[in-house]
Amino acid sequence: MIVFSVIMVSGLFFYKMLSPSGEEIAVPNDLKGKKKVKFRFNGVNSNA
Amino acid sequence: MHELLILYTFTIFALTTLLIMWRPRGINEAIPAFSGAILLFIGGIVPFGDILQIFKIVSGPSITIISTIAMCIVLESIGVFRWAATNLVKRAKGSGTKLFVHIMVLCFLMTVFFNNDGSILITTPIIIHIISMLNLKPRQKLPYLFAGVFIATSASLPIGVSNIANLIGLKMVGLDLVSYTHFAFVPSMIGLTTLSLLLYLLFKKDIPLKILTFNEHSIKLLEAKQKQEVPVHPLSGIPQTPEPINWPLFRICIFLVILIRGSYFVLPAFGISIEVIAIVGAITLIAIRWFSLKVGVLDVIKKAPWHILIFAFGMYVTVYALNNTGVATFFVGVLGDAMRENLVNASFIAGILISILSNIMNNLPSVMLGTLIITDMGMDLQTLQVAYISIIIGSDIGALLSPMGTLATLLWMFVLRKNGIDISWSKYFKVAVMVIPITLVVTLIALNLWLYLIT
Repeated sequence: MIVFSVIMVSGLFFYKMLSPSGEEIAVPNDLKGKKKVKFRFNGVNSNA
Repeated sequence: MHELLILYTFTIFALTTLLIMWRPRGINEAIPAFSGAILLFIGGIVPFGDILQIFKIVSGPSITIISTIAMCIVLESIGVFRWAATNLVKRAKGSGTKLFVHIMVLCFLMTVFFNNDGSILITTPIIIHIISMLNLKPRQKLPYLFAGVFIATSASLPIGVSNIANLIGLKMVGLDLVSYTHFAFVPSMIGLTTLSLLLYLLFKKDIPLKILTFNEHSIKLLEAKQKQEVPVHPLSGIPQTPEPINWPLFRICIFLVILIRGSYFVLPAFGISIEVIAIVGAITLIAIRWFSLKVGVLDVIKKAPWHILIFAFGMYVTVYALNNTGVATFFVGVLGDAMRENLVNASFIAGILISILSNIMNNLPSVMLGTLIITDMGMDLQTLQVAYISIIIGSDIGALLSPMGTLATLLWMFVLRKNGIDISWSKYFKVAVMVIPITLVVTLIALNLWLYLIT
């Protein structure tokens, strides 16, 4: 269980490293991208 | 065995190893490995009964690694690694040293959660992308590139599941992943810290004090540039189309990868084997992606390294044949008494022997041969297990002394060349010789101290 816990904590760091920092993510309603997805990235709005 | 048969076996083994490392016309390494195995079987060096036994030994670890890379392919396809380069630069906040540390942490985590070859394939293009974005001078690029390959490869040491070479011999010496990690985790982390510090000291002058920082304007420019210059990733095969990322899927998939990794250390206690966990994990990820994006399994089938099973099988048959010629008996005769004497001798002799062998003939056959040698030595169980962990230390750290030591380093050089970065073997060796031998010795000392503390 100790190893399991270490792996899970390391996983949190891993997730943090791979996720965009400082952005607010708008969850896309349409997963196929038919609808435009709005990103807010460090205060900048852009249409992805 | 007849002298001609011994000569035949040695020739096949030498040719197989040479072709695997040279890979003329880019042939898959499984071809020479499997061809060598067939020739040795035809020559009667390895009987059919042993072939079946070998297949049983290598199939589990191979399936685990293939499933892990399948998971990596799914994550790559949904854009999980798309932000890594910009993230690292942003988190460095204009400091070259911070970037150096973040790159090492990313490479470490990539290997821990996937495997060393997958880590090299994913992180090397990310590092190249970073150093290109930052317009670094050629000598300033080296710290990041070397930190990436050394940490990504040696990071397969702490938990044992990140490298096929580590997995193959575990059962043969009566270890499971939990007991392996119990013995190896702390010494490995001491070794990795030593390696990181040595790399920092070696490259201190070359690491830029200040690097470019990203502001809102540069992020916009970068996004626009990424849309124009669609990157080609080695795992993707085809140019990626930058589509919007599905964030819930992004989170679920990363969480699943982490959970599966953790499960390797919990579920085997309930009789579930590692390869079953890996297969279930890969299938679950593929299913979730299909459910969310309606993307099928075809890309995973096309890109998964199925040849790993044939490669590991062929390589093991070749090494097994070499062992049948009396190589193991020779080493047992020369080193047996000293290794049986105490744990310190066993660990240092095993670690240094495999480091030397790996740099001559690559670490996978070396670990296989080393495992056959130590199981023939008649050591008590604890000495046998310590010798095995030392073999893995030699294979994951000592093997880094030359590019031919591991397939991951050869892969790294290939990716660099493909991106117009030429690091000669002598340049590689000049860096490696300054950090690898010290790291190897420190890790072996740490292993002995750790064993003294816990036993």
